[in-house]
Amino acid sequence: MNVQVQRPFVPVVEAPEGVARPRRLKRPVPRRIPFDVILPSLMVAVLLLWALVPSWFAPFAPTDMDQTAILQAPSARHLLGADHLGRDVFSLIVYGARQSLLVAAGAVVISLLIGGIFGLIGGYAGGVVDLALMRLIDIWMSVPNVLLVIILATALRPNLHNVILTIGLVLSPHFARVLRAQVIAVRHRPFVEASRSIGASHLRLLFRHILPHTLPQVLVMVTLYVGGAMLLGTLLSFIGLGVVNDRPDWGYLLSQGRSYLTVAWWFATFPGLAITLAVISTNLLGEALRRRLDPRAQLR
Amino acid sequence: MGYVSKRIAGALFVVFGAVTLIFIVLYWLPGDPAQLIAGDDASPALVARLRAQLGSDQPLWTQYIHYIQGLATGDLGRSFATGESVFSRLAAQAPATLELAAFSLLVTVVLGVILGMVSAVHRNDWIDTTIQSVMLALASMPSFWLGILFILIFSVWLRWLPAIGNGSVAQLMLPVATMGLASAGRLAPMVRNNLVEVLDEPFVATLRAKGLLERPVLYQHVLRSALIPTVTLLGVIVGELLGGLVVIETLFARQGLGRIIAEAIGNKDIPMVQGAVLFFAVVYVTINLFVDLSYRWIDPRIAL
Repeated sequence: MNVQVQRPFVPVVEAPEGVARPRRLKRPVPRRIPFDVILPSLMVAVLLLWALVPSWFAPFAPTDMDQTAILQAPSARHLLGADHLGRDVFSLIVYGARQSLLVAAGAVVISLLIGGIFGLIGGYAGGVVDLALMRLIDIWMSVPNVLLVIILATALRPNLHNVILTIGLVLSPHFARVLRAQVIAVRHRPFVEASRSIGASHLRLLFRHILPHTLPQVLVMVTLYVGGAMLLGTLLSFIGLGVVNDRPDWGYLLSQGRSYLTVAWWFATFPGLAITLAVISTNLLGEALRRRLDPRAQLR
Repeated sequence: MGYVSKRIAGALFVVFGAVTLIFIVLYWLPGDPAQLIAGDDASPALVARLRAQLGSDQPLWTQYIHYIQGLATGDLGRSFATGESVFSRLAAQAPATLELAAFSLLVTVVLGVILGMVSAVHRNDWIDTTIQSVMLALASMPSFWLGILFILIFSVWLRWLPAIGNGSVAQLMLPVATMGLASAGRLAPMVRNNLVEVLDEPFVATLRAKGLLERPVLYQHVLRSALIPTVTLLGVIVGELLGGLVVIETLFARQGLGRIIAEAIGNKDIPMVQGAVLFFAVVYVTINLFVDLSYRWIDPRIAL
């Protein structure tokens, strides 16, 4: 779009003689504090800290089984109650952050790589290549995400790599579509054409000139999809297709807590709340980033 | 070729592609069905025999042709676990799932459209903020956790509604509420944003300027313009709803395809999972086909 935005004419008013000019403030307009970024960032930071150094926050180790505390309600000692083995639910949630984040972040990286390559090639090459890739993506997306995750996970061994790979594969077409659209929007801009005219190679054009222009969208997408990936990971754990190891896992906690619903409401409630808050915070952060980085979202 | 038949051909192509793609990916993935069924400590001889029995020792091409030939005659293969026909099992359970899906979709649409509308009309004031916050929370929680909370509140504590089973209307309430709310949390914000976009268009200002009341502006003009994007979204929402159903059915111990999938997962019964997923894909693609076809009916200006 080549619409020239005309600045409104603002007459410059000189201060009359004898009137002291007010001292110029460093920042004429007081900036509002961007709560919409700060709040979710803080929540994400807490989550990251839990994942990195859980022992700083958890009052108990995830392996501490207190025989006297089995299915005990929340109390001063066990803030969020205890589970069927006498483990502290709050500590399990803190220690569980690592696996949930690992699955979500890993999956998003995989889908960014796979989807990114597809999107870049399709958008840059255009024509038949683009058409073929887009049909492939249509087909892949014709199966609802959850079902695709389920069918892939069923065929694989339930370890961390496979769960990440599965979710990454399922989410990748979404990344491919966004990147493709962005590449198409940029690829014929004058600076790209200029570089092409002096003989830049395809790879140089793609990585040096086009790719940087997709970064804002990529950043927004990555943030927004971490939440979705986390939900899919939780769902897999919940239906028994998740990572099988001895680390605490939010989805697995939730599925265990479900068995004790009638006697211990806290056991299923709090792990679910942790997941929800984690996803809300990444979603809020993604939306805040989108408002700043995506020009189309500015007016809403 | 007319538009309608072109779209149908396109949908068939996508379904066929999905079948092929899932087949190839399942073949490529390192999991060996025979090994999975037999267990890790089974003797190699047993695994080899199972492999021959399942046909998974054949090359990809042979297996694929065999599978497609079966599909053409409505044969989705036989269950690894019980040996029964996948198709007849799915056909027997499909009505229960479709019932749940239909009611959930109804709740989703009614809630999503109404809340999205209210939100858009009250743009940026406290009503909008409240609705948006609640919808964000709903969209960010695992739907099965919402279901667990409902069971806890309405079945365990209040004892108003049964938590499990199917057959009666009361048993339908909690799963429908869960699924409907979870999907409405995604639909409402999208409806809101569509409406807000339309409300900002110049024709709305013109309508207001000529003195039309806010109500007719909204109901007769804005809503109609926002209908097409909303119907498009519905196609997307249906996909998520169908996926969510699998877990929700299991959670509420209902008969249906979700339960089949859950059982099949436990048995590593890949043909059964494959068949059920294929069924959902067909439903999903069909609904999106109708969405595409409905554009012309909604907006006669669209030359298809």
